[in-house]
Amino acid sequence: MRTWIVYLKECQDNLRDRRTLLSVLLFGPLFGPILFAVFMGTAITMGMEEAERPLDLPVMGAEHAPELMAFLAENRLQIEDFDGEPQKAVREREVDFVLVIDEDYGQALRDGRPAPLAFYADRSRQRLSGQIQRVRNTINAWDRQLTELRLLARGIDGRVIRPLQLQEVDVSTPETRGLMIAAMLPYFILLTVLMGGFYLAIDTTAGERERGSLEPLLSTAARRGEILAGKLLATATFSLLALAIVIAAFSVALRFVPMETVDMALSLDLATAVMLFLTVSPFAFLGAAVMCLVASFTKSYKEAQTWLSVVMIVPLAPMIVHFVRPFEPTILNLAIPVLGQHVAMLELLGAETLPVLGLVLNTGVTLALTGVVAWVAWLFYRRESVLG
Amino acid sequence: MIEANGLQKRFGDVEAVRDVSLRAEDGRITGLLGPNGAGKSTSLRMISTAIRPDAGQIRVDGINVVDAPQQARLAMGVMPHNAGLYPRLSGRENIRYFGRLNGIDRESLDARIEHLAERLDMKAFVDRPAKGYSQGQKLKTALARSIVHNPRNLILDEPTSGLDVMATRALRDLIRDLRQDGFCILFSSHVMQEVAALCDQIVIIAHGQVVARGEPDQLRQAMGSEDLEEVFVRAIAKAEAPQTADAGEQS
Repeated sequence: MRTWIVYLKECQDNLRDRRTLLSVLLFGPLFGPILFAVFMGTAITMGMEEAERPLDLPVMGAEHAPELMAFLAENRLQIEDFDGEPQKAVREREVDFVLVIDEDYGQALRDGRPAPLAFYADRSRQRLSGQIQRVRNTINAWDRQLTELRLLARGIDGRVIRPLQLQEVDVSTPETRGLMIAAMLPYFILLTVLMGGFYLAIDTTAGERERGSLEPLLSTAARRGEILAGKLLATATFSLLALAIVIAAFSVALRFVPMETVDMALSLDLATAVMLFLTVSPFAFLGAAVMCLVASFTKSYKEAQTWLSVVMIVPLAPMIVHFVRPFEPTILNLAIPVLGQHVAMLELLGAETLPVLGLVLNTGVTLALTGVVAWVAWLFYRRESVLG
Repeated sequence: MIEANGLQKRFGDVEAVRDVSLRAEDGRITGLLGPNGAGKSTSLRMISTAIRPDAGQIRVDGINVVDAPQQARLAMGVMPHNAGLYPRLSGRENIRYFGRLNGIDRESLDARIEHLAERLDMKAFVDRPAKGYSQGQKLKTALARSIVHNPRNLILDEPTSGLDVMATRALRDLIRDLRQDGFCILFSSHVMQEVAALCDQIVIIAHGQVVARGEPDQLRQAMGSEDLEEVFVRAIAKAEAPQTADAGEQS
């Protein structure tokens, strides 16, 4: 009953704090999805445009290789005449790259010698890597075509120079391909959950002590356990609120990402969204307990902020491990808190089914750990040093 | 009524309170006087159940605070030296929160807060957020909050430290009013004049021990000085004397 009174007061109090509201309702939950949608949308659209757009290619000595020029033009490379010092021009970024056809090109080709031509490009320029690759691929294609023609002219089947034929079969579905991009999503979501309770955890513990309101509060008839429980639940509530908002925001944001154009799919229908919420919600309680415990040990608002920033790294851990050594949704992986939520989210987003036992264990172990952390916090609250 | 006997408390190597006994009667103001670090706050915190004494007994209205802390807390109002209000809540909400935690039901709580607001002249600001309160307003709110559950005993830890003259005056008047109502008031201070102006009974502590006690006049007589500040200084000097004797410097 008194837990409920503390809970209501903390919710009411913090709903009036603009900083809390901004972090719970805006920055945390909306920033991630919007950033994600804009970033992904732009990346995909730009990638598509890049591949289809005609590319200007400065060429020096184009007159020595009319067939090659015709082939390049066929492949949407627009030839521009270039005159000057190619190396200098590329280095000083007057042009992005230059193809130089040697005077000897035509003669060498007729004689059956390797025909000399040079491609000047600055490979340290990341932005151009796609375009450079495109030019190189086109020239290589012309090279292969000439090879086959020469072999054919000598009565040899072009296949002799291709002893192997490797065929790659991609069995991924559009959903699983979308996942490669979505690997960031669980991190965003877990971080948002922590952000949601961040200011509450500080305000209700270190903040209370700094204001000098903790001592009078502890001198009321409320037991320390009741007070702590109310604060914990309020923190978890704000985390859950942030979780609901971030999932809703992602389900909207994902509609604006043209995944299907790159043959990927990533969508969050209502059922998946609800499953996501239920799967991640135990983490909100664990996060609240950990943050309240850490903030309890600190003396001031500032100190608490510093220490809680360290806690914010926790959701990053599974993502880093995932990049180094991707894990499968085994029951064991699911049973580990934080990691389990990460894996489960990835699977849900990939429209895969999860082992029920794994989910049950995930929830059970996370809540059990929450209990242990809350118990430690309670032990601390019973100590005299809690007054600071 | 608050009775403490032989209180002791140590924090690690520091012996904060070595031997403090005191008795604060209903309808009287008892001042706990001592220099900074003498053990005033620690003694009050033991009485208010915030910390546990290592030895000694405390009874508040006959309730043993170590055995029945919750029950004892209901018999006491505690006001810390900074008001300790929640700035985003209004004065009324601050008071209501503590009233609810102390088990007062909604209906009687509203009436009680109305009564306190009237009594302490808080009507003009009680519904504004506490953030913008003046020192005097904060003080009144904190006082109302600490007595909302109608306790018989009131404990104030350095209530006037950091207050301006007007707020200090207002607080003194409030404390005297509460004495009229029969409250047992125990407050700590390191300012002699304040204690002299207000208290019926003075307990002087230094180095965690009671060095003198009595009514202001009794103390003046015992120490052979008319000036209470002189009394204070002599009492503390007396407490330090045995320590120097240990060092073999005094005959």
